[in-house]
Amino acid sequence: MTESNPKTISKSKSPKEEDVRIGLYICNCGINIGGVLEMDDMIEFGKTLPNVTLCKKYKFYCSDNGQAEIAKDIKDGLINRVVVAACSPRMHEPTFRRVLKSNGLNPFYFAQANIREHATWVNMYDHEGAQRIAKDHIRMQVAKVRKLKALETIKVKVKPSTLIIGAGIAGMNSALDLADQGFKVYLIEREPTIGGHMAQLDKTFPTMDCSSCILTPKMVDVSRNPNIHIMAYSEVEKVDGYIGNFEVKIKHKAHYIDQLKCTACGACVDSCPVICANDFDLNMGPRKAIYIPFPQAVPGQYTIDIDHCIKCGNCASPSICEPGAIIYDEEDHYSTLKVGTIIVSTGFDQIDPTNLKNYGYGKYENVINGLEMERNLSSTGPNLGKPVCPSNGKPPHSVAWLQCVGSRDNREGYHPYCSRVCCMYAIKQARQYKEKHPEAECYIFYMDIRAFGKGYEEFYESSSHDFGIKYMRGRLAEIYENPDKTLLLRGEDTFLSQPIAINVDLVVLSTGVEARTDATNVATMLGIQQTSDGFFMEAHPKLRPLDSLTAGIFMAGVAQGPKDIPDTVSQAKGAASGAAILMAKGEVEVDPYYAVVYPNLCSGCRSCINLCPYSAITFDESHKVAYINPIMCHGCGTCVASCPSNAIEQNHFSGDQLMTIITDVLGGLY
Amino acid sequence: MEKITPNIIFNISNDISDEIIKDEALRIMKACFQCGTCTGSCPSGRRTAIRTRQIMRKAVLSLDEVLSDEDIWLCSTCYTCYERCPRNIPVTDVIIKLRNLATQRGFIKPAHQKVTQVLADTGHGVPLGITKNSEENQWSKARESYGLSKIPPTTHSHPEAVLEIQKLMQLTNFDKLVKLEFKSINEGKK
Amino acid sequence: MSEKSVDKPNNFEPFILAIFCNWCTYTGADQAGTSRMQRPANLRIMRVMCSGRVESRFIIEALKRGADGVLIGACHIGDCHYVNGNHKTVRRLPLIKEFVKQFGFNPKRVRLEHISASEGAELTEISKEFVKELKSLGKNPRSSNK
Ligand SMILES: Cc1cc2nc3c(=O)[nH]c(=O)nc-3n(C[C@H](O)[C@H](O)[C@H](O)COP(=O)(O)OP(=O)(O)OC[C@H]3O[C@@H](n4cnc5c(N)ncnc54)[C@H](O)[C@@H]3O)c2cc1C
Ligand code: SF4
Ligand code: SF4
Ligand code: SF4
Ligand code: SF4
Ligand code: FES
Repeated sequence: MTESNPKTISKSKSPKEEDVRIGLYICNCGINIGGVLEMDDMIEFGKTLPNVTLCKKYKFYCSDNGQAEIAKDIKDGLINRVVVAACSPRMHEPTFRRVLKSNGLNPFYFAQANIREHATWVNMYDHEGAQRIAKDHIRMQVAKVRKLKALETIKVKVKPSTLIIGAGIAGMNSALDLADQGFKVYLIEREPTIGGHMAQLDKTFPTMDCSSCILTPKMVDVSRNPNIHIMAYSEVEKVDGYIGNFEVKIKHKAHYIDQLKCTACGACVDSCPVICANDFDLNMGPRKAIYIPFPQAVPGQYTIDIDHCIKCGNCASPSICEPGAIIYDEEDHYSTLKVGTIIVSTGFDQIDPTNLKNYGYGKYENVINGLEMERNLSSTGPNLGKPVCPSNGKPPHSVAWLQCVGSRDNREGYHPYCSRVCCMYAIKQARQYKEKHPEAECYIFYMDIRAFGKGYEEFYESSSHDFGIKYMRGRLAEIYENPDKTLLLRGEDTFLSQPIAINVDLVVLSTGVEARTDATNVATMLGIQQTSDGFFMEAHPKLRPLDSLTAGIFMAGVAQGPKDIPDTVSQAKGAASGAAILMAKGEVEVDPYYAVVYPNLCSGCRSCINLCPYSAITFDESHKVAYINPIMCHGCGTCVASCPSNAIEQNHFSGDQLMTIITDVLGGLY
Repeated sequence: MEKITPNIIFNISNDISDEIIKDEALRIMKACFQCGTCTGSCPSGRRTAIRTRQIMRKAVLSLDEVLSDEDIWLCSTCYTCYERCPRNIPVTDVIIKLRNLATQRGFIKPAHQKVTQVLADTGHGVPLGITKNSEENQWSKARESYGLSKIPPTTHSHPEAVLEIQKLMQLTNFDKLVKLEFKSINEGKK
Repeated sequence: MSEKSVDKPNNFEPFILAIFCNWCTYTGADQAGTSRMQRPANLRIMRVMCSGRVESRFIIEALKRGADGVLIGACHIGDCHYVNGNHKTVRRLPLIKEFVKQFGFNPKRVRLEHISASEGAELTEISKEFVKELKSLGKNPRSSNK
């Protein structure tokens, strides 16, 4: 056989069992474990387990001193395998493996018994129960470590290129940081322009910077950077591969305009007879069927909204479009890319308040949402920066903001979390309105004002003190429309303990943010997880907030959870740095949990071949046996479980190892 | 020296809230964040002194006054607050539980006591106004015009069943709870 | 062959072998711990990389040696870290249950649950419920003394 199966496992020939000397270290983890378990009893128990040469306890084995103790026992030759009973291996397995490695032991001679997350923390009051589980978990890992084999990690090359999905302020910042370090960046954006939600904002709290004044120069930087390849109006269709070598299929939606020929002169716009709703302005203003979303859009080339286009042919006339860029029958096309790392920065959707019937959004003309107010206030918006009541086109004399609409609401269809931007944007908008109309009354109905960022509390304070915005403590109960389209608000002023009723001209629902409706598709495509709120899940909420659980994929911005622009940009830099570290190193070590076929046992039935989701298994026709490519195998073990001849083993999760765990914990003989 | 007790203003305990959350479905009441949606929504609160949010606050802190005050009896059980509470608290059910508790602890309003007494006496919370010659009653004429018996087939036409009701009240200790006096039925009829 | 319906004392603590995939259910169990969600002390958790790794002999062996129940924890359909390992587990389950029956055990002792990395609460609920069910089924007839 030419391609030989790797020899990391040689069935049945593990080092002789009598040579196995296990050091068992039971961690107190402060009081997290020590406060629940009877530690002396644990030690006595540990000593009775087969092949355990020494059994010790310490307050924190992950600390330097704790690690040093294990290191010493290894160096003194007392032990040649290690079990640490402590937190989850998902937390500290790498830490302890390093201790083994740097002291001359194969790092895979290690197992960690989870007696914190899976025992003491879930049985904080049932000490006896916790003790029972902890003992069994230790028994299981001691069994496993007895059977473990020495393994070598696989080294994988990391391509020096990144795919960034979503070109809001998060994606753009990550792109610039990576490109400036010399990495190739593919920036995918599904809209015709980059910029994301920030392009729709007027000013930004708490500094009142004009949003487009700080955003558009960045957009230009992105478009000019030779290392950034913007793919606008495009979506990711499929992602294959693994860290260092992702293969990505991209769908480029038809613009119906040749993007290379279009000079962005804009002559076509006047010729187009179709006027439709402008989605960039949340349908509050008009645009033509041939359009760019806003004047500073990047890339600047035009797109035809084919759903509204009547194909009159005006724009295609050579006297209008001189370069002849219009292609009415253009089709979507596809391309593939190979990248080393991926950053997901797909941002958020605004919560839709239509189902909150007591607020009448969608029914009462003068009830609008936060982003609509943002466009209303913007000088590039439908009202050129002069907010008006939709019912009469006149500036309102009184405006009320309602906080926590759809956020901090446990009812079905809404979200228990705080959206973290609505308090501040309501204050910002109220202040902007007061600047324009000092005589107007502005009310903010709130439960708590969350002014947590730098300069935010000061901004909040000045809004009532310098601008006279009235804060009303109480979540509004209901809104009624008066015959003249003004609105009657009812609620409680909880400080007065008094039901109140107020008439206002305009109501802004401070709607929160939620995960994109297609977030689940994106997560499934990338093989990453979502938290219960729908946002993408980080590998560790505190220590690895920007890594996904899948190696090589990072996340940034609101896609990971609600946050404002400063936090989004910080995350974007963090995610870029995470990707850059991998690419600068150029290679990563991957756990060698791949599967191996024993050719002498394989009957050639081919059951396994089609099971492998990665096509890692091929059939060696000359020897009539299956072969698994260790680089392509991701180590799921599905083929192992299916082989009728028991001819496949998975490294570190072999049948022998797993069976021993089971038989030992159930008092078996093995 | 005299010991300073920490609870100078209130006697804060879990006495009432623990009783309420014995019903698992009401456990969430402790999550009330005092937003005021309930008070703002309450149609009764617009006319009367009921402040639903305050009832919830006092219940969480187990202040006795929540049982002794009139407020819990002003709720019309319309369930508007229940539907709108963003913390998904079954507010109206909490109020009903508070009423049960109030009664058990002897905080019963005289009017309510009277209604139960009427129930014990007649078998009806709101008995029909039966005068000596019932023929003259508007309602009995109306019944007849629909082809129904003059007097409905309840305790009004089966006075002996009132005894059964009284027996039930005795068996459940309801009579002691609301301090009922059982007059004999014949006496009641006079 | 099936379990004899002898008297079923339910004052015992069922032994549950829990085989959890690394990416979803094991992480969900970690989350349950981090969030201090209390559950009965019955789960002995064994980690595999994917539920697709679960072999029928693991389950039979556990039952033969006296485990009262086996709980397999997998990602939700569509969420498997290895694309579709859990599909295969789902398809294998009826066969596994058939084996379990042939070995004389009540197939209710084996459960497959899809629990994501953020569903510590679901795991807690499922464990409570499974423990209750196993108590009503009674001890594993093969268990000697536990
Ligand atoms: C009304 C309102 C006012 C606000 N005001 C302020 C303020 O004053 N100051 C402040 O600091 N913050 C403010 N914020 C918050 C701010 O908008 C966000 O923090 C910021 O926009 C987040 O940027 P992002 O890049 O993460 O997401 P987004 O801006 O949502 O960008 C995501 C991008 O990804 C693209 N995309 C999504 N899915 C895909 C896909 N599958 N494939 C390809 N592309 C995709 C989208 O088209 C979009 O361009 C406000 C928010 C709202 C709702
Ligand atoms: S399933 Fe087993 S026996 Fe069949 S081809 Fe694959 S390795 Fe060989
Ligand atoms: S372990 Fe999984 S990925 Fe590896 S060869 Fe088998 S089925 Fe394929
Ligand atoms: S609506 Fe609910 S959370 Fe708000 S004050 Fe009333 S009971 Fe509390
Ligand atoms: S159920 Fe009672 S407290 Fe709640 S809104 Fe109706 S009347 Fe008010
Ligand atoms: S990784 Fe969880 S079922 Fe496959």
